[in-house]
Formats: sequence, structure tokens, C-alpha cells
Amino acid sequence: MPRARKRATLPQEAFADSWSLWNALLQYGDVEPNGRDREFIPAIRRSLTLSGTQAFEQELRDQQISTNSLIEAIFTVTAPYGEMLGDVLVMFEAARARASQDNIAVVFNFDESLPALEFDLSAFRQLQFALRPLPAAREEVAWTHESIRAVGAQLRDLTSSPVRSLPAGVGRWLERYDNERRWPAWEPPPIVFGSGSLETATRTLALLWSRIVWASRSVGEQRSALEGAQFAVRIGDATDSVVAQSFAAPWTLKNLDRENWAGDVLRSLAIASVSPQSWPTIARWLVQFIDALPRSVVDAETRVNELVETLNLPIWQRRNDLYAAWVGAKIVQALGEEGVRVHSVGGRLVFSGSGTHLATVSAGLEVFHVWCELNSHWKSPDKPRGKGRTKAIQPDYSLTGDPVTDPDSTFLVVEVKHYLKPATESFAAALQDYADGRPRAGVILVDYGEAGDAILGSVAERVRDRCHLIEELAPSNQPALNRFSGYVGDAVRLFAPAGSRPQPLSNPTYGTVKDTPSETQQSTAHDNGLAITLTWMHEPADLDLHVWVRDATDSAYVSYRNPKATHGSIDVRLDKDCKTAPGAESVFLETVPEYLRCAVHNFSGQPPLSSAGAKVVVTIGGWRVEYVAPSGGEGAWWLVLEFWRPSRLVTWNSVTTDLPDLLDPMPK
Amino acid sequence: MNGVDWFRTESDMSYDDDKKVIDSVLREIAAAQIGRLSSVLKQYFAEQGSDITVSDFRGFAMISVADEGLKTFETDSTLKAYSAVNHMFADLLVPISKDVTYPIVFWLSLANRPGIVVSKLDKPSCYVLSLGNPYSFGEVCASLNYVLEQQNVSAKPGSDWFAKIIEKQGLDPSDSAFRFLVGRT
Repeated sequence: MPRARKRATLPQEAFADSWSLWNALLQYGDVEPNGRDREFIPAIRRSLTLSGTQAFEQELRDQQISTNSLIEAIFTVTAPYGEMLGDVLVMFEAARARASQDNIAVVFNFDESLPALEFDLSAFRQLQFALRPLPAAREEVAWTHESIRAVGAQLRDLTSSPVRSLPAGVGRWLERYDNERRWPAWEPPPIVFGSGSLETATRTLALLWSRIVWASRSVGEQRSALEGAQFAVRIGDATDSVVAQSFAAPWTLKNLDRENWAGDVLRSLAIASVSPQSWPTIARWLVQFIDALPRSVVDAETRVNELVETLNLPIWQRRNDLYAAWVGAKIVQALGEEGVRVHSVGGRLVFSGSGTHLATVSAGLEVFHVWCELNSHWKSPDKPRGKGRTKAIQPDYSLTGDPVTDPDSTFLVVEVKHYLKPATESFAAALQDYADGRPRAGVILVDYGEAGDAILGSVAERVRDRCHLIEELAPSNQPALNRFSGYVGDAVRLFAPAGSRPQPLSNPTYGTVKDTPSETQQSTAHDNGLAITLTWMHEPADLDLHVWVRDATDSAYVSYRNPKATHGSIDVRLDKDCKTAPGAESVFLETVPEYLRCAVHNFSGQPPLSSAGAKVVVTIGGWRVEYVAPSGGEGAWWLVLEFWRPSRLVTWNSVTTDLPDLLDPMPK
Repeated sequence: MNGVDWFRTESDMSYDDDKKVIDSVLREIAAAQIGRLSSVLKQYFAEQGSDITVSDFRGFAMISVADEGLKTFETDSTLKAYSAVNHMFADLLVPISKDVTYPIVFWLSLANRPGIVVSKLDKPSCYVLSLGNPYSFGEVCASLNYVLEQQNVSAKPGSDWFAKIIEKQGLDPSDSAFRFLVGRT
């Protein structure tokens, strides 16, 4: 296990003021402000709302920043990495479960010029605990076995009414805890209350809960591991207040776990969260209870010692690798649970610069893969735009179908940057090169810090529509996380056949898709052909069905402007042009073409297409797929689907202003 | 002497001879300069600490020193995190008072860290249990168990009543952390 180097004790004078402390941290915390820690000072400045117009040390002096403020700011900067470890741990857990072995390791080796960083599961958990977020206040509630038990018992009493169902994440956690008698590797989703005082009190309780669970898990993954815990007498020298809390001692944890404390408290909070009528009672009692508990003051020296240990952790010094791994974990998380197999090789979950097959995903009939650092040759006669790229590209993550060696198989690329300030040219070059090198893929560039719209503006127009930028992607930035998982979900939706995705992917601009075989519809399709029917119930009055098809040698386009096309092997026709609601239009093909695209145009313009109650039904042989128009989105076009023979159906089902240059060139 | 010894009974008078020894132990601690406990006792013996409480009548196994504004261990209700009264520990420890080699000092102060820290002093030879805000029932029991174990002293036979108290507090009396307290060594 990589450990922190043994540190020397900070001299007393280091605590005199914030600038002395900063200088001590540079020395003892092994901080390199001009090297690997170059984003450290700007991040601390931002937390302290300092302008950055002077040297950092001078600024601390001039602004009379207190020692405690500096410590708080530094912990604010380090805390997100603890949360990232938690997410990676979930993926770790998935791989471990699949590998059916207890001792797998995770290896960070993105930069092969550096030695690989390898952790086993228990070391990983210890690291996560070392990087845990600390409360901002210097005062902590001094819990004891008695007060912890009391809060659990009272919560149980206050939330004894049964509820129909618990939040899914909580249920999963409890299942592992109750039935398998194991400590899950992941934290359940935070339980949120609308009431202000209850929210504050439950946050205090949630912190206690996390500490107890993490401390318990550090004894052993099986809850029974606590049984052997002995009371450890704290031996001291009877000198004055050195502050530490003893409630997380294994012996105390054992006594709590005998009463299923962690499970009961989580269950009680989850029940309470879905029973708003109980909030006033719980808030009144809990606030009063917590307020009455004694406080212990965490002194500056204790916190700085923790800080120095954190800064010396190898994982902190390689946090860019951790960030990249975390983004990988978020990709896997966005794919859902069903059908996702995270791979470990030889007991190791590897993030390697030379390429790693991270996961395989079964999405109905389709299978795709999540690759880390998948290398592919640069095919274009033009040189790549990015410096250092000549004959190949190697984005951080690729989501790709079969064969993985074909750049055309990739349908999503994710490139990870760990910059605090954007590097416009390098970011734009990465987006452009990856979009050119993987011509059918959407490309997302995520950055830990700011990015800015100028980057997308600098990307070549021919690929810009496929490029996305997400700045400040971090555990606490829920909007950015939502956008990220939305993009990943969209990409999977486009790749995998409708109705067979690994999980429902929520996006308000998308409509619903039903995927059912239908005997009744078989009669409308020709034996070897294909039928597409548009129906709508309300205004806008005039909707038009547009279909593009292509075969080996020919292509055709039908709509109200060109209702029939018959040449070569292609025979396609539109039955009628309907201009009033309710209405229906159908396109029939005698044979299934090699390629087909279907879209609906709102010819009336207003009201929006979403109010029409429109549906498109596609029938191929005995297979029927039904699309309901999206309930949101701006634009006059409803892009429904693309199809490649023999069986690849890509569902777009989205409203757009223009038809984008899609996965396949438009037939002329 | 400052403080209120309201638990004192006729039967406790048999310990009067021990009080001189206890007094000398506490004076040695005062002189040992081991932090706040020394300075508090120094004030106490100089009769400068108006609100410092020392209890010396329970014998060697239960000497109590309480910082300003606090009551002795036996009557404490400020620092402890449980509702049961500490008198039960007197019931347990007084019978073995003559058996302990090293006196046991219960030192209560708001300046102590939360929980209990056990210290063994060489000069004077004694154990100090530093009790902070808050300390728990389990910590008292397990710390006492440790101190008795070090001296190979067990509660008197027939201490099953204490096992029931442990159980009532939600702990397992068969836990090895309590074996010298329940007489199951």
C-alpha cells in the first residue's frame, strides 16, 4: 500500500499566523506550487475570496487571513477528492463482486512515465477516510456510545410507521447490510429534508453515520469482523487537553452494531424523508437532542497534522489520475447497473495509459465497451491539430461497439482535463482531433476547472455539433454531473436499439419509445418490406413525414414534395400528404434498405410539435417500434430514427431546429 | 477540606487510616507537574481553589479529584453520558480497596479530552483515569477493568449484580472488556 512519508512534527512557530503555516506546509506537506500543485494556490485563493494580485504569502499577510481560515480553505480544496474516491470505490466494488475475490487492487497508471499507483481495497478505504470532508466548524459534537445509541433508538421510535418503499439507493445499501451482513463499499444517496432546522440536524447525524460506517468498514468488510474487537485503553500522560474522539473505536462500534445501529438509522432517516408530516416532530426532538450534547474543540494543531498527512498521501500527489479515474466511474455509473460488467484482470482494476478494457455493456441486442486510453490510427490526410498527435489519437475514454479497433465503432469519446484555468487551444484541438478521428462519435471534454464557450467556438464547424464541453465537473456540482450523465445517456440511446437500453435514461426533451412485436401491424408491412406511419391528433395541423433511404447503388428521399421514388432496387412511396389534424401519413418500402432515416417536420410552425400528440410507428416484418413525440425541445424537426440493415436501429427521438449531419452521410 | 462528602457513612470510617496515604499520593501528584491535575491539587492544598473537590474516603480504589465547578466521580452528573449514578462503582470498588497495589485516581475536568484516558504514574505509583466531557459507561467499565487487570485484582465473588447493570446499559457482560469487574476471571 502506498503510504504517506513519515512527516516531521511541525514547529510551534508554524501556528503563529497563516503565512507561517503556509510556509510550513510547503516544507512539510511537500507542496509544489510551481509544479504538480500549481492549481492549489488559485483554488485556495478562490475559497478565501482573495484577488490573487499579490504573491500568496503576502496576500495572507495583508488580508490578515487567520490560521483557521487557511486550514478550512485547504480542506475545502482537498475534500472533493475524498468523494471521488467514494465513486471509484463503487466501481471497484462492482469489479470485485464480478471477480469473486476479496483482494483485488486498483491501479492508476495513466501516465506511464510515472510508477503505477496501486491500492488494495482496505488501503483504498483508508485513503478515502483520510480525504473525507471535515466539518467547517472547529467545534465537533462529542458523541459517546450512549448518545449515539439514544439518537438511534429515538429515531426508530419516531419513524416506526411503515412506508411503501425506500429510495432505491438506500434499499440496496440496506439489503447488503441486513441480508449479507456486509458493509457496502458505497455510501447511500444523501437524504434530503426540506425543513431548514431538520436539514441542519440531519447533516450532523449524517456525518456521524458516515464516520461510524467508515470506521466499522475499516475493521473488516464483514460486519462480523467487529466481533473480535477489544476495548483499547487510551494511555496518556494526564496532561492537558489533546482532543480526539473515541466513539469510533472498534470496541464501541461493535456494541453499536449489535443493535444494527447503522442500518436502523439509515432506514429511519429514509422513512422520515418520505413522510413530511413527521418532520416537525423529528426536527424538534433531534435539534434539541443534538444541541444538548457536549462539544469538543478541535485545535489547530490536530487539524494541521491531519492536513500534512493528507498532502503527503501519494493519492493527493497524483490527484489528476484520481480525477480521470473518477470520470471513468461516473461514465460507468451513468450506464446504470443492469448489463454492465466491470472488468478486473488478475485481480486488478487498471486505469492504464496503454489501454484498458474497463467494462462491457449489454444493451439488448447491442453490446458495447468502455475503454480507457483506446488508441486508434489517424486516417485523415490532414495532420491532427493537437501538438504531439501525429499518427494516432488516444482519448481518455471511448464507448465503442464492435469491432473496437475500427474508429467508426466509437460512439462516444470522453476526454478528461484537470485544469483550473482553461487551455483554449489545447482543449479545442483535443475536441476537434477526437471528433475527426472518431467520425461517428460525440465528444465530451470535461474539466475540473473553468473552460469557457470560446473553446467550442474554436473547434472546426464540421465537427462542432458533435462536441460538448463540461466545465467544473466535480462531485459537488450536480448540474454539471447531470449534464454529463445526460450526454452519456443520450449517446447510449443513439447507439442501442430502442427499449433495450440498460436503464431508462431520463431527458425531458426525449419522448417515449415502445418496442413491441405486433401481429396486428404485420399486415401493414410487406413481407420483406418496411412501413412507417405518422399519426397526430391535435394542432399543429400540418405535419410531414420525411424519409431518406439508401441502398448499395441508389438513394432516395420521399416526402410531400416527392411522394414516390422508384429506381434501382429502391421502391418507396408516401401514401398521402395530410394537412389537417387529426392526420396520418405513411411511407412504404418494398424491401428493407441498407440505410434509412426518418424525421417529421412541423410545417405549420406553431404551436410546437409537442402539442400534436404525434406518434411514429415503424414496422419491419413482425417487429413494431412506436415513438411518441418528445414533450419538450425547440425546433420544427422531430428526428425520429436511423436504421442500418440488418438490425441496427438508432433512436434519436429528439426535437431540433435543423437536421444535424448524422452518423451517416445524407443520401443525395 | 473542601468539598462535600455526603456519601460518607459509618462504615467508611475504617478507611481513615488510609487517608494519610492518599493525602501523600495526592500531594506527590501536585508536585509532579503533570499538567492541570497537578496545578488543581496544588491550589487545593494551598486552599486557593475555592471550588475544587477531592474525595478520599472510598479507599485506594476510588480517589476522586474534580476540577472547579464539578462534583466528584461518584456524584458527577455533568460529564457522564449515561443516566445511571456512579455510586454503583463505589459499591464495586470499595470491597477491593485493600487489594489494589496502585491507587486509582478519578480525575474529572472539562479540560480533559472527551472519553477516558488512563495514565500510570511512576511517582507516585498510581493510576489516573482522566475523564472528559463526555465519558461513557462502557469506557468507565473497560478502563477500570484494565487497571484492575494490570494489578491482577478482580471484583469480589458475588458481583453478578454488576453484570446485570452492564447488560441494562446495553452492553454484553460476557465481553472480555469487563471480566475483572464481574468476577469472571
